[in-house]
Amino acid sequence: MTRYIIRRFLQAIPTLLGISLLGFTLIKVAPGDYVLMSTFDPSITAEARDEFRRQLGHDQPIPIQYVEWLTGVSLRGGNMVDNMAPMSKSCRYFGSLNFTFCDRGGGLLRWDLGYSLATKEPVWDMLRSRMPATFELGIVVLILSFLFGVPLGFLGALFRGSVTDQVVRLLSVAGQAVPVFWMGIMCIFIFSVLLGWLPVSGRMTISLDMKFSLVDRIRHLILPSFVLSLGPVAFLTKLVRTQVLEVIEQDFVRTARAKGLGSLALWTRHVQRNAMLPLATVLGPAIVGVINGALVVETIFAWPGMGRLTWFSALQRDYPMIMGAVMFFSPLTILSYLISDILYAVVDPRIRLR
Amino acid sequence: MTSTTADQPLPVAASSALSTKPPKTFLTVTLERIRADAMTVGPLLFILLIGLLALLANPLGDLLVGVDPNRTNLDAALQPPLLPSMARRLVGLDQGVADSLLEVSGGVTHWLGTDSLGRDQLVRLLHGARVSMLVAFCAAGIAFALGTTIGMLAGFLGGRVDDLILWLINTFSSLPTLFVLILLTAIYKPNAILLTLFLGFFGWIGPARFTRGQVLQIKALDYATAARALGASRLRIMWYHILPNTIPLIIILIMVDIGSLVLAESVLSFLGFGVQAPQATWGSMLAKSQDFYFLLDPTTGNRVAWHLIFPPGILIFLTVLALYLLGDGLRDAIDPQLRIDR
Repeated sequence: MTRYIIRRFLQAIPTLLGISLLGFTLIKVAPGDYVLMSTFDPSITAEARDEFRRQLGHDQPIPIQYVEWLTGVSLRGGNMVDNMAPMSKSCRYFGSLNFTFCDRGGGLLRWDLGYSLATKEPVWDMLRSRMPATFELGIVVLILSFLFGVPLGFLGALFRGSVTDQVVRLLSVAGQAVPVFWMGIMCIFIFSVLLGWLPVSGRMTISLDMKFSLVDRIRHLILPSFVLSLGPVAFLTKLVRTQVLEVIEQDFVRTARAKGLGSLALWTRHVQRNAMLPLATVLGPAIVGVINGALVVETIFAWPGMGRLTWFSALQRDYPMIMGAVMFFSPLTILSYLISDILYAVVDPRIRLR
Repeated sequence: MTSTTADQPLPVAASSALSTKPPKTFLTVTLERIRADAMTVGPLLFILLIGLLALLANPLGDLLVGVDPNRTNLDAALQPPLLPSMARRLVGLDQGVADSLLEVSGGVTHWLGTDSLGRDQLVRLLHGARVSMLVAFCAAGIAFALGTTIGMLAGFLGGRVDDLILWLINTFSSLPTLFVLILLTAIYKPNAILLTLFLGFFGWIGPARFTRGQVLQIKALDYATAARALGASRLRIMWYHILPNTIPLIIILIMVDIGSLVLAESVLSFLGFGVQAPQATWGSMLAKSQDFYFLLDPTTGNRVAWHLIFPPGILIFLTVLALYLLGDGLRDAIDPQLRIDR
């Protein structure tokens, strides 16, 4: 098990490198010159801009730029210590090999995601300040999904072919087909605007003293979490129903029934346990689905999370900011797949992770 | 069935019936099963209808309304649908409403009302169908052409090629797709063609992974081994033995995928990163509707948002639903063993 986890972590390294390569390429091909955009002052001369470019390393070949972006370390031929001084204090010239080594700090490997073009703040600080809102929404949605998806799936399988089953099946297909944003707009229009039951948007009521009120928070959370959990609920319902139907046709269920086991014991001890196993594998995809869906739902409900931040940055073409979100969510995706694979092996000892 | 002995010739009627009846092929059997299943025929007809409406968007718009999808008329902005008031006039109720609506719009029949710039909703919905269908079907085509080719290569060649392709698949599937698509579309404000390419390029992973698995499975079967023993080349085995066996399952995947692509296109348009204005798309029409939650019609006092929120959303929902149901139905028809509902 430990060896498996270590190997999976090692396997994630080339994947993450691939993602960073993709991200770097995207930033490089983005229109608009970074130097020109950040030195808009007309009194800055072309020579000064060139100098700035040299210091940033934008005059270097693309592969070297990639390494600098990734590690924050600059390598230059010849003695460039004076030249690089404004960018880095820790430059050393290796005379025997005739190159200059500068540790400029930062770099993606040290989790420096760069600065936002719009606010000039560090990208990571901006993301971090929005994290609680997104995690709050995401965790509530995941809990709701399993809380409703699993029983609904059981209900469908238990009364297979009945009206209940038909309704469950229809709901599970419809839930996956309904566009999240339309559902959000409809819910706001009906429950907030027409009926006035729930707040239209935001995470809490803005007031002078900004006192924390749990009721107020929950009232704000109801609509976004309902809308965002529709898709996962539908997906889980379908999966659980299929699983249960598969399990009840197994020999051991027939044996249990033949030896006269009551139906409650049969369902709880034999069917339910086995049908629940694959749920562990869908935890990863569910998290990924919630991350993607959060972007849309946060936008509609003005939820102050990372998804809305990304959307807003994209409208302003704030590339470092969007790139930071991509670089943050990619490892999270890998991690959630890994956790769900490990969980599967934990709940089902028959699975051998190799 | 009556028993026949060897020396007794077959009855003439039976033998002629046998000879005139065309042999049951895979295709005819599948078509028969589809025809018997209302939950597949219905969605199929609906998709064909949407496709037809999309194709005939221009003549239909001219016939029913007679204005361009991008023609604005601020006098007739946010008009409620004409259809209900026309219906009431026909049965002799409320002469005035329909007439006053027509007077404001200058005689143009806005059957489904107008948006905030006075553009006709019905015509824009028709043109939106065009974008949705075109982008989704073409992107699915690209994704599957790429995906099956890559998947076949990986599964069949194995070794280094397989390792490389698996690495690519892993990398792509670890990306938060929506975020990357937004990054891409923020860099290049896309038109329909570029958007199709983006969506197609990010859609190849599913088909590739699936085809690879199928190829690995089929490659180990006896007939593939037999073909190799008979001296068939790799290309021949791939083309004649493996591809035909994967195609039915791939068709199912395509249907479900087109549904997801319709959703993806509408999400991007909704967020403002899809096909750019003024081109009408279902998603961007919905995005506009958010501004009018609270607006009341000054004369009637009704909310104006109804006809902005519901028609585009219902169209997206039904189209995606139909494609998903079609996928389910085709799966049952092509391979009843895979049936889930039982």
